[in-house]
Amino acid sequence: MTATEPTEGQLKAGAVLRQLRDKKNLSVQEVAGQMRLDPKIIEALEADNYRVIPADTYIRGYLRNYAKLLGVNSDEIIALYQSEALAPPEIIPDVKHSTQVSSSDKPVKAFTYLITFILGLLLLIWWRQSDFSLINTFRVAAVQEPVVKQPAVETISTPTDTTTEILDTIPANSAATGVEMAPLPPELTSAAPVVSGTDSPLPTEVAVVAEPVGEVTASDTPAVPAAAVMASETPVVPAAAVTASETTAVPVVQTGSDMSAVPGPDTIYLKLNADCWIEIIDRFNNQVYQDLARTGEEIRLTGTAPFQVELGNAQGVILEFNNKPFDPAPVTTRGIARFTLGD
Amino acid sequence: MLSKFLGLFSNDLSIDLGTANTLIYMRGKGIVLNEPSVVAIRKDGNTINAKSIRAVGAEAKRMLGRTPGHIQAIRPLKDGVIADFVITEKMLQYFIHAVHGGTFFKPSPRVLVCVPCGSTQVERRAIRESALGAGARKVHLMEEPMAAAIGAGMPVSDAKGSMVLDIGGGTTEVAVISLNGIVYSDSVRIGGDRFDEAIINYVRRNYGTLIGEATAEQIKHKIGCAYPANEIREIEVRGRNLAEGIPRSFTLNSNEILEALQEPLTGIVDAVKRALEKTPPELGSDVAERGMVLTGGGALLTDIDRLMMEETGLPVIIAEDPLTCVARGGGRYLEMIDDYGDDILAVE
Repeated sequence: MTATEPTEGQLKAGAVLRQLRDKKNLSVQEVAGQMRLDPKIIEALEADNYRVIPADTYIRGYLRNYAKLLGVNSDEIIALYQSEALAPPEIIPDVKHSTQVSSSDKPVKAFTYLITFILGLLLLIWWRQSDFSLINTFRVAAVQEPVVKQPAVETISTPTDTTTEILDTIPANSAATGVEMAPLPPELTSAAPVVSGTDSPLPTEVAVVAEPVGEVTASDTPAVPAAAVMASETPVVPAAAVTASETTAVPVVQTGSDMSAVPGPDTIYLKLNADCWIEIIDRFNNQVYQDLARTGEEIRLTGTAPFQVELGNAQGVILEFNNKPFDPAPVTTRGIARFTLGD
Repeated sequence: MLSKFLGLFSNDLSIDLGTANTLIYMRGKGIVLNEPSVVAIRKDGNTINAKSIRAVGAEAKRMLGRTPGHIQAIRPLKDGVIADFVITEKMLQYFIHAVHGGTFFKPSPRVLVCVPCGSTQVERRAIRESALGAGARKVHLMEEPMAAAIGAGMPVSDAKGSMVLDIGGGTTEVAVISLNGIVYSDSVRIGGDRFDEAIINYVRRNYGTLIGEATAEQIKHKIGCAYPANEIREIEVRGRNLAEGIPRSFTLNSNEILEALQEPLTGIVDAVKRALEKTPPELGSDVAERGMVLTGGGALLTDIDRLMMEETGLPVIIAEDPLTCVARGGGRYLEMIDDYGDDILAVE
């Protein structure tokens, strides 16, 4: 027997089951006994009154068992039950899923790419900036390629946008010219400001020459000829001074039309008995010197007073300002001296 | 912190880590994975530790009992608990990746794993650790009968007793639940695997023929039954005759299988009877009125509801889609976890 009889289309599950039970001549009690259920539940099922039964899962189970007992396809009965308008009593309320974000969602992906892009951009900017600052540091150190090669003298000039100009003239090919250059008296270098190639009356830019004895400081200038180092106390000469003094016909490269590389009138002489960090800033806020000077070095600096001086290890430095000794001891705290010279 | 962030991009999962099958329910999506808990391992080179995963799931199951020397098909779970920790972890990892398919970040979901109620602390810790090792951000454990009852749609939060019988691959769990809690639960290590074993033993004893696990499972699915039926079904199987050493084919019928399954079925019936004995009378009367619900793969064995009904005298119904009840129940709980708190969860 099947449940596909013509009248069943309109009938509810309970009515179908009752019809089938009647055909089999079974009483409610007999069915209840076989199903081990309360006869009331069987009656409720046949009346399609599902309120008595606790949960949907039980209703389906009972209907299936009942259908099986009567020998009909239980799926058809369940289909009838489901098609009924009566909503199954919900014991556990349906919960709205809060939709979860997954990384394959388009907005998330776009956002991730955006963040990655921004991070990359920032990294690039940071890298470029650190690169620039590095270049600036090098400019202060004033290490440049030789610009002009002359048989007599190689002039090394520094085109910088800072006002600091350090010009190294390094005797090149012949030791003779180096020696010839050498006798330039130190006074000449630090002589009165001589303006060349410009008619600005005031030395707005100052050339500063840092000259350690017997050694080239402040730069990793490659291979200074030994002759020059040994022979001369002033292998570094400001270009302006050289042209002005006309001692030698040394071609000088001028780096800019406004170059008025005039050394300041004031001199500082430092002799180191111990390693010491030295930082000296002149009147025009130019960094005259900034380096770790080593034991035994002698440093002669020229510039325009007042100088702001910072000595990291003041005890190890003998300081002369305009050839007068200056004792940094009174302004030294814990070895560090900060003071102004030539106020 | 990082896992919390990555968690934003993973879906909560409910995992029914079963002896026979692993099912994964994804929050908001439903059942997303149903694969046999089998892993095929390939040994690489001569060193002992050089092993790699060859296949997982259905593909690996096809290899069971059919592997050459360098491949080993392993079922890392036995009796509902972990037998091989590392392989279980690998398998879970594979499944979690599979259901998250093609995500940008490494999935790091909150995971709810169902454990047999009879499992020991050590076994639960092993399951928790392996889920964590597989990349879970947080692991909740839930007792299987509770998940099965929720998944079957039983009114677990009512002040009425509901009895659930979950016959899995490795274990059978019986529990009486009321007010979101388990009043009584018991777990016996009898399940689908024991049915298969019983069939293998029966065939060896009565036919002098050796059959494999896969064949035994096939016999169980086709003609297995738990209660004498009017109609007798038959199946033709092939196995190695022990006397001749040659594969022979022979015919088995459903009554023989019924006989073969008697021993494990009796074990389950006994467990149910024990549970009814120990249930407090009020809840017992509720159970007698409403009946018990069967879930798990074992519920698909023909006429098992009939057997239970005859043996206990209670109404017995089979849940809709009994195979996925546990995973669905865990998933349902995941959906409600924020509202209900963790009083349903198992303590470790």
